[in-house]
Amino acid sequence: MTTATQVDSGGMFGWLDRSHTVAKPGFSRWMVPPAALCVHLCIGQVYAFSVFNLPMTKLIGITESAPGDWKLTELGWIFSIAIVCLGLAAAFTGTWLDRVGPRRAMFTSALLFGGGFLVSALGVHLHQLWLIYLGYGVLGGCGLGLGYISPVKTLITWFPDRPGMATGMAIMGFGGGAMIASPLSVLLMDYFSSPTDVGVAGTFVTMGLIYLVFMMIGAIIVRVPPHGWLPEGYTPPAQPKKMVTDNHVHVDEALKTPQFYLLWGVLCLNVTAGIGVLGQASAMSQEMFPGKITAAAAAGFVGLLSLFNMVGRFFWASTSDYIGRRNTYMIFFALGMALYAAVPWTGETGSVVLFVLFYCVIMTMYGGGFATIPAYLRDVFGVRYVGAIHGRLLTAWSTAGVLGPVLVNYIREYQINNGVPQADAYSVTMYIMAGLLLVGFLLNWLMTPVNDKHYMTEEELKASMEK
Amino acid sequence: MTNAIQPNQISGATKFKLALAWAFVSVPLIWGVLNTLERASQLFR
Repeated sequence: MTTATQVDSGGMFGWLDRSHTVAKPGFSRWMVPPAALCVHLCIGQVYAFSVFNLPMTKLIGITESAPGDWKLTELGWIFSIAIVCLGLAAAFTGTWLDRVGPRRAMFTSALLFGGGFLVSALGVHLHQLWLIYLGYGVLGGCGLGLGYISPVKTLITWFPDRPGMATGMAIMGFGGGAMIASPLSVLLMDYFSSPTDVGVAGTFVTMGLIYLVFMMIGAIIVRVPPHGWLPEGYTPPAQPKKMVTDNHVHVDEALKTPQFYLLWGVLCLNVTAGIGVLGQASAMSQEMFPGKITAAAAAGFVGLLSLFNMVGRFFWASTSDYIGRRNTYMIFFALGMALYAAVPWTGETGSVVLFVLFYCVIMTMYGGGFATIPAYLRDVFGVRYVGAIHGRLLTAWSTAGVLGPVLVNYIREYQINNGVPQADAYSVTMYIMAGLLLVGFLLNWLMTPVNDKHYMTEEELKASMEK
Repeated sequence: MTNAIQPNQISGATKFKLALAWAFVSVPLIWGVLNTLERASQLFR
């Protein structure tokens, strides 16, 4: 029995083949979300990478930066390279992933991500920054991209009745990964540090090995359903909803549809606005509420935001199963606009509670945007190539990763250079972000079902399964 | 076609595997969430 295209290499790595991952009777589909979480909880570490930045500026001086130590600006490139490679890997490996299945993809992702840490540890040991760019940035970034998209189609196929909830669970793990990695990194650096070592290399080796094992376990337990499998008691609706198709669009054909670019814009704008305000949350809270929010409280505030970012991924993606993806994004943009525009007002009234509340809701919608997009793609383009199409769409994330911080920093600097007080400079930023969300609202409003001419014919679909 | 056994038909061994798999991912996640909440409590002191 085949599920889709089969690649059977046999030999030592034969267990990675798609044919070896087809679930046998007795397998519960609820084993698949933990498999996906094994990967996403690890790769979510990327959001906590900044915890290494300061220690890595003291590799020679140990207690303080010495001549020859790396600068923060140089270290900032590690994260940027990783995010760019994430987008590129997701875009270019989607079709391969679709061919080889989730296990081989998760296995490869584990090798790349875990291996990236080990190469970076060597870079720290030899004090060669290029090795860290190559290790964590390029190898780790490719592992991130591949790992991010690898369980998406599998989850959607196992949960045709609740695709939003299923992908929301996995992508929630990506949000939670940073919450584990941040305290774990601090603990490990404390453990490995000595009067002659800040402990970064030992931490990289340990984390690389932990992530390698954890992700491998995910690869071992993941399964794809047999061809044509449906959950017991579930019958696909005879009259599908307007925005949900039973047909399939080829990944290359999807790029020819306006819907792909509309969704690309929707994701890019939602993420741009979210990243933009997330990056300035700590400084903004302290400058808008001087004396009320201390540096320690601001760090707690950022932690709280990461928690709401994670919760929002599951909440909104699950909600979208009931209210529809288009409506969910309408809420993100409409409510987002109101909240972004209202944040400066909380500063004027001095209400810390409202400020925190508004920011937390904003963060749920930022995370929710990531988690709801795979199910949105499934609705619009069908299941067959949803993994590959999702991979291509993630270039929007890479773009937003650069656009968001640059936009916010540029606007802020321009304001301050023109004599605007620091606390007030945030207001303009928030209004501009609300403007971006208005554009996102319009793009989402323009979403319609794909024109019939883009759907694969029965013959094309059959051929794609047999290749 | 329903080849895989559904939740209402899950065997004892499968239930054990499910519990193990969910515990494997939940324990570190809960640890991370508790750490975050502890840090976040600074905000309300």
